[in-house]
Amino acid sequence: MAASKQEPVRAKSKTREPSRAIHARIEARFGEGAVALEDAVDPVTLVRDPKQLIEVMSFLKTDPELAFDFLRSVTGTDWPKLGSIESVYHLYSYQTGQAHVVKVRVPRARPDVPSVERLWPTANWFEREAFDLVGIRYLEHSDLRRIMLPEDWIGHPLRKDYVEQPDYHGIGTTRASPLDAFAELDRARRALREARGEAPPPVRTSPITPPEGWVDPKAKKAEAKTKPASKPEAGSDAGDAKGDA
Amino acid sequence: MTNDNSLMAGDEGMVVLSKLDSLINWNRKSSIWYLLFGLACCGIELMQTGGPRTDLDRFGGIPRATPRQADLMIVAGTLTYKMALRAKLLYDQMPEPRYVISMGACATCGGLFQLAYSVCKGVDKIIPVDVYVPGCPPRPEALTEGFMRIQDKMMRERWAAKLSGRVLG
Repeated sequence: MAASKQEPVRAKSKTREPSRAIHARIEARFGEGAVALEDAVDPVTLVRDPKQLIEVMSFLKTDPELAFDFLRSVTGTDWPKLGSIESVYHLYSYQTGQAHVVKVRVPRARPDVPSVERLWPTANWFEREAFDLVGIRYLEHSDLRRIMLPEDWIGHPLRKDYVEQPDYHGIGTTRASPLDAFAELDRARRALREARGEAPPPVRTSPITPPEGWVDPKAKKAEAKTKPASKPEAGSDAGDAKGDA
Repeated sequence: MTNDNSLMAGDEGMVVLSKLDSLINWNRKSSIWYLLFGLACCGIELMQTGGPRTDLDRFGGIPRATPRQADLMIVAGTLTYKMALRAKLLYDQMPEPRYVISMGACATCGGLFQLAYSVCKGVDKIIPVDVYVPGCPPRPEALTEGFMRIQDKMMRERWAAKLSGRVLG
């Protein structure tokens, strides 16, 4: 193991360099074939083979320079067009103050990802959440059940192609808009009026009378549009100047 | 006693004449024990309503921690499907006659979260509701108003007729 002469890079600012440095260290250990840098938004390490995830993660945890002792979060991302699902790990190190994101990509049809619960016990609940909402199956997880939705829930709601069930235990999942009832009332009134041969009610106007001297800005605008020639010299000053000339 | 028909006469002790229904209803409306059932931010406002400023206690409203001692369920907050089944269970455990206030937009129709996959679109999908209190969340004054409408509803009950079987209860 190389003794670290240089100070570990601290995440002082929002610059991407610290994460790139961390990725370089992972790449130096596992080679370019194992990990890839995804730099589109923020530098993220992609572990190409899910089977190698545990190996890479334990390196991130045990390496004295990286020392990621805290798993902040595990999330899932669904990419239906790519036909893949990603499991994303947000890591933080209390020892160095650095943070890094690692992700792994698996096919949508078979979203099996090894669990990192043995490295960070907090992953237990995070992975249950990702399983619950995105449907990632974490292999060798000690207790892979739904964590928030009921046990008998059908489907994983944060999948892009999730379709809501028409009911849950007989409780309908839709509710009519109250405005529909008003529209129905309007239709019924109109039908009644027409059957009686009555005239439609007068259109209601605003009961508020404008104060004296008030000019409707819409009318003003329309007026300005009709005579565009005087536009550059608008205002009383311009008029005076014209008169002088 | 607030009933106009009541008559007080009192040379030897007090005699109060009233209708039996008025007496029963007056008793019931003066001690509405409500189930503590805060589900979201409306629950905070429910606590505030029970606090000293608006003081539900002055109506005899006392929070109960068990449905078996409660007359009124105030559904305060966003009801998820998971919770909806529990809410139904709690309602079934309440002794009759029981009343339900749907507090706030979420309990009434799902509110802000009605397009969410996990939120029940109104508590009236699972249990009958007596009073809907609008608001997001309703102010304590609004909930107090809803509480008083429940009292009005209680005062209109006709227990004597129901017990004698003349009215279907």
